[in-house]
Amino acid sequence: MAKRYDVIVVGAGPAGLMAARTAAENGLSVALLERKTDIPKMRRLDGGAIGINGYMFDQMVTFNPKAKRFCFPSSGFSVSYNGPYANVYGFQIYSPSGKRLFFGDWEAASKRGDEVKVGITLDKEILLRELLEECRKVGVEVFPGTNVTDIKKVGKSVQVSGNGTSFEGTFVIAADGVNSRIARILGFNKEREFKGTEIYVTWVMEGDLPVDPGSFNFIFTEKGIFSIYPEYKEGFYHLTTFSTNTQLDFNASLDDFVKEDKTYSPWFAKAKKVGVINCVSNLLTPIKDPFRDNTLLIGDAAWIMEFSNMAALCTGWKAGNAVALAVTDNNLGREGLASYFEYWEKYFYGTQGEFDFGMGGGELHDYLTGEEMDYLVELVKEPFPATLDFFTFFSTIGRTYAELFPTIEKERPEVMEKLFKMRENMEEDCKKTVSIGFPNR
Amino acid sequence: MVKIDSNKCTGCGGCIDLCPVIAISMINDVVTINDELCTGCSICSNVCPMRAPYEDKE
Repeated sequence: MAKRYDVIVVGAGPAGLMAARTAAENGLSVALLERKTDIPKMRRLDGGAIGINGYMFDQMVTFNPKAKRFCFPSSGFSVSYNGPYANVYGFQIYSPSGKRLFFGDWEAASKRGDEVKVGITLDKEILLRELLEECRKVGVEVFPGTNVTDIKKVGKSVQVSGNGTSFEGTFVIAADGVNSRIARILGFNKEREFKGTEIYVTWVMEGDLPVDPGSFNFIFTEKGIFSIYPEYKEGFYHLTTFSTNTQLDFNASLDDFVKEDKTYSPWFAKAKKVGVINCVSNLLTPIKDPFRDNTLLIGDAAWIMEFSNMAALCTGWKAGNAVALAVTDNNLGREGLASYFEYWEKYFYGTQGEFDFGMGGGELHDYLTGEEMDYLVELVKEPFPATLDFFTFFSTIGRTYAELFPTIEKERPEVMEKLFKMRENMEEDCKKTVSIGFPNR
Repeated sequence: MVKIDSNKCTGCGGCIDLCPVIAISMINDVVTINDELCTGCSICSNVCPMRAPYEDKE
């Protein structure tokens, strides 16, 4: 006989841990299933940062260093974090020859630090470990090493099985990440638009940081796109490359960048590669209605890609509360979770869910020469406002270049032509990147 | 038969997520392919950033 719970949470990342803790705090019996045996251990790549002091998804997060808590004033909860951290001040974009485009006031950042930060980098293992301990304290039954392989509705309950064990729940909260298996099994992905598959490979580097402290950097070269961002620990940073061309040899292109790039290889002369972390995401558009068969999809499971630690914590907190309310009122259908759907619509799906995720197309270096990329970066003279919100990042760049089109047309008509061609070919390029058996829905 | 080169695997779990027949699992934090379920479709080797899965001809 399967043991019965009010709610079974699948996935113990920030969203799942938060949901399990919140539901148990409200008196529910909760099982938390996770396929990793060491739950807080990070095996998959993560940005390792939380954007603070600015709005994203109409939510604001602040960090109180005295209380050591992240506070979510729009929602009304906070999360403890007793680990190390470092300030982040914004993005920078580098062209092939080292020209720069800035988000944020970097002179102010070096002088006034704390006042102008837009995010902090953190040790996510500590965040997860604290949440896990709190889960155990409030009575969540934790099942590490449980790989969920099936989920189905049986009568009024949902049955979840993995590793030969079955669990029965009134509700399931699926927080199993961007490539959610539960979304696939329950058929959510059939209605989603497929935007490609993206791979990220990161080398953890030890050495002097070659960029401004607190900067998240994108470097465009003739061979690829690279990014550099500092860790919370001084003397360590991440060097990443990413692409929707899954056939690329990612390690070889990082190796080439570090050793051969004319502009950037000197940055790494004394640096040492001390680790590799990576991830792969199937990019499917966000789910408007994330509930089916008594199962609620939260966090990345309902989004297109990594949706930020903030959004994971928020959706987890709200889902835990909504499910607790439904069970307490014995209102066990869709109506019982109305407060969650309102929240999902108000803050998440409703603010960016219909965003035109222009992913999976060709990349800049497939179309433009290094000199042409330099030209485009140099066109922007004033820095953009500081942000760590990638929606603002993309829309600011899009809007700015749209305004510059007449100038580009006049000065460099051939560049304009190439940019139009890139946009025209987007759908075709996307198909090329997904020609190897995807989408696997 | 598809096998995983454990020297290359970093344990990110991408192949586990995307395997269409759920033949891949993480056992004691090591990625393992169940030969009985594997259909040899090679999605895992195509999505692996480290190219850890390989075809074992024997």
